[in-house]
Amino acid sequence: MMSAVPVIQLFPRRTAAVVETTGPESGIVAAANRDARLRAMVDVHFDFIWRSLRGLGVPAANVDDAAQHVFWIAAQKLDVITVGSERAFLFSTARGVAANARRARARNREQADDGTIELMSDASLDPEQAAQKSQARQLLERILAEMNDDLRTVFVLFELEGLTSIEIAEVLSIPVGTAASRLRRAREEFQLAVTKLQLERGDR
Amino acid sequence: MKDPARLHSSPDSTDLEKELLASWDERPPRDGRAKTLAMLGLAGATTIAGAATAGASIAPKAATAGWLVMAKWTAVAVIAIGAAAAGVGIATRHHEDAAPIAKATATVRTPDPIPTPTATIESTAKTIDTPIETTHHVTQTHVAQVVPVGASTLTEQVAALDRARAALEAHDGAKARKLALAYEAEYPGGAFTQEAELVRIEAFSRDGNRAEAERAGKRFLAMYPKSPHAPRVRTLLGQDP
Repeated sequence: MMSAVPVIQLFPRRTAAVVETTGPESGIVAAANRDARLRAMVDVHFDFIWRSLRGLGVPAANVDDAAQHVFWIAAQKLDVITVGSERAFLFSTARGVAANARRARARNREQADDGTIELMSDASLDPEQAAQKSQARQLLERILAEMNDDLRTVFVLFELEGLTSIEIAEVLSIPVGTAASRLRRAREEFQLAVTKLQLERGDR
Repeated sequence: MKDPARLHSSPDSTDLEKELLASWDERPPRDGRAKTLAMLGLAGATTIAGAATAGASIAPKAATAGWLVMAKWTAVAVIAIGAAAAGVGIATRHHEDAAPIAKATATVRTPDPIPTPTATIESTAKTIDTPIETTHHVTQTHVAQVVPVGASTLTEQVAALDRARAALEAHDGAKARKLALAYEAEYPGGAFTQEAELVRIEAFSRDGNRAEAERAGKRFLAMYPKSPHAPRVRTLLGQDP
């Protein structure tokens, strides 16, 4: 009669360079696999998430912390993130983090966004160019802030991050047609806002 | 379906539209990855080298902090490896963060002797997944979803955290950790994220799970070095507050 034998004993050490583990070693292997996966997520997606957070309205002063927060949440939830959907998970989390950051900022309006200061200190631009760019950036942020979250998200992903509609649909887990529709509306809102600006400025 | 031309390069766009979009030149800090990896306790040799390369662009204080964090995590890794070599602790840990890999295949150097596991990976994974799967935050579907945070209220967050704290006070560390994780899943970036993490760290500490308490505690300090809870976390880690 065969007795129940732990799997690990079926693969003697001397012959098993590669083993399937179900015993305590599997905890080590799982931890190593987990760390490797997490590291890959950071390596591949950090820049995208960091820029997306800025596009979603996280102030420059807070974006580093916000990006770390996104990956920290991912580390907590790594077990349930489907392989292949890492970017979608991270971006989805970033939207939540950004929404909180925007609310916090609204509660604390006196907090200065030093992104403007960074632009002003861009050594590649002369002071006039830097000021012009800074102003343009502020106007862009103002227009984005007036869009609703769904439209802003699609606009940022398409116009600023360069994703395709198909990629946006994957990231947001929405039909491609919905992504395209939101993009069309977002672009219309952007163009309308710019037209208003032009009328206000009385130029161009 | 063909995408439209991007506005910044479309001949139909106005100069002002192009100017506004051209003002977008966000670039992440060169040491951003390294800092994030350090925060996650993944600061390996490659990352450290990368951080050193990027060092010129790092403010001295930030660079020092980054190195300290990485050094701390390296120390934790050494302790963990030592514990594993001794055949205790790591081999049988079943923390919430462990990936539930039911059937891992890898090159393994077998240590002597192998203690009988207290639970299979499958059963551990089931235990781990329960609190997360019952939340709205993440599912096993193709793409994880975040519940709009706006749908929640501060009162609900307080109640959720209170439940975790109550479990902690009732000396039910496992339940406290599950409820704290459930809070973090339900309210990503919520108002009491730090408090929820503190519950988890305290629960690990009270349960005598030193390795996990250190792991979570050091991560907390890396993320929130100026938190009002940082002194408490340092105390739990046996450091000077």
